[in-house]
Amino acid sequence: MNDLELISKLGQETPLTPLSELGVVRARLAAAVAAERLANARQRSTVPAPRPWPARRAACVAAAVVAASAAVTVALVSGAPGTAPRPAARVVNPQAARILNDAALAALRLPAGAPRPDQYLYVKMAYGIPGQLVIDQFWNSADGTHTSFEQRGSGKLAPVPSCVDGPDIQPAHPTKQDCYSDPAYYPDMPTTWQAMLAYLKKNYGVRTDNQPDNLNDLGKIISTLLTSTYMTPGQRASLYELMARTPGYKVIPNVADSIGRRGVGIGWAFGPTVKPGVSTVIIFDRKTYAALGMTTYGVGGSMGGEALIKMAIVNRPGELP
Amino acid sequence: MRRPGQRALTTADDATVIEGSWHDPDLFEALVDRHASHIHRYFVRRVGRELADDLAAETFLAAFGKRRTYDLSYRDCRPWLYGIAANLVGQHRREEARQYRIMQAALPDAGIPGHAERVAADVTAQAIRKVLAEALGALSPGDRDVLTLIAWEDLSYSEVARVLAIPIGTVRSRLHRARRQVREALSNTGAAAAYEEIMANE
Repeated sequence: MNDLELISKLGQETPLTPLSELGVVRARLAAAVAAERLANARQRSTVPAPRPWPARRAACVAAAVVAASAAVTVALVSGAPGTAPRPAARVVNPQAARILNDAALAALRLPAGAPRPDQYLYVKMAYGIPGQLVIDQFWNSADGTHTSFEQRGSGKLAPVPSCVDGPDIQPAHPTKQDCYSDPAYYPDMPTTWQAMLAYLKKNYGVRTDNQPDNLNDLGKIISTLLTSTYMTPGQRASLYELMARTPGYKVIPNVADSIGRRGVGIGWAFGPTVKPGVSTVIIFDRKTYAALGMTTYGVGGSMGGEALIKMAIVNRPGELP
Repeated sequence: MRRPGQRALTTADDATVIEGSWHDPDLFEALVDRHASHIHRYFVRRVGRELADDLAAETFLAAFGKRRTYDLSYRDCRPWLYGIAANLVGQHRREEARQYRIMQAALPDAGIPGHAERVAADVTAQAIRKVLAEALGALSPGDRDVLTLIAWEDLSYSEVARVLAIPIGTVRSRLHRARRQVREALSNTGAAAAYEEIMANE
């Protein structure tokens, strides 16, 4: 046995890490993938200039929610009439619709308000599975024109360049590459489910034809919006209302997020072209219906997830609420 | 958002997956299934389990962020991932030194009780481990990168050259120097001969 073989034998004392123990890796990458999916979809679209949106009365939305919950069958139409075969209508799961409608009502009871353009949205997230977690913190510019910051795990506070109509803005390292504005708050995001559907189609490429992959896209886009952007009560409620009207989502009555908080889940199976046998769940607090995070399950249990620990408006990067 | 042909991509080579992920970022997650176990173990070996989760996640995040610059002529992306990983190890030399100290202090497996030869082998193996870990810790970072990538990660000379962005000749010279230092450390203790003798008698 020569020296190289001895070194090799020393290395063999460390077993190969099973994939089931790599929830942190999977969850953090999944979050980055979801974020890029959102960013790409926005980049492809022409984002209208921010404009004031009218305040809505909670009662109006509540009435709409109640009325709509009676109609639980939604036929999803693909593209323009006559351009493609009309897929068979699927039925909205009434239990899922009830929970999502309750979540919409709870959202409408949240305090109104919005960050100033110069403020930051602080987000603290845990990624992984219980016992194997990393904590990331983000200070995202409310209007996207100020340098955001992130602290991943035990790393240092790192700047994320902002963007104003083209070049990155990062004082220490200015670049000339193309960029897109990625604010933490979109004032133009609508507050009715119909307008929200149109908004997500236009800005995020959401499709509503009757395909399992589209269910996955919509669920992940909504989950990422819930955990990465500030939303007014009306905006948040309209996302829940939209999910409530979308066939394919189901209730998982008792499920735990990455940091062990138990809640009720709204889940969906991945389409056959993504990952057979894998499903993802958005987890809600049972009492407040606050979105706790998202976890993906495989045959062997949790494959990793993300849990929203804290979200708050702050005045400066690095400031803790 | 449709993903035509995605099923075929899940069995495609790494370069095809990466190219597909330029337009459909979800595809990149397939590389976790393929390579994360090895990348994670690389970090466990080099800097310890405490940091391994974080750094393995950082590796895939960094790879995802720079995937559009990936040279698609390389169908296997392992060297690319190891290159990112090796850079991250380079930012944690203090933790790496600590890991080799832990290796030195690691207790041997007690083996089968009452089996005298097995116990003797274990004691000798522990002595060898201590010398090897000490020798690894004493290598220059560049030499250690080459030695561990070849001995632990089973990469070829050309792959290591790609990982570390150095000529193959430099890989050879670094490996030669590292092995000479390890051999010297072993011969100074005499432990290697005893270990080989025990292994030969098994």
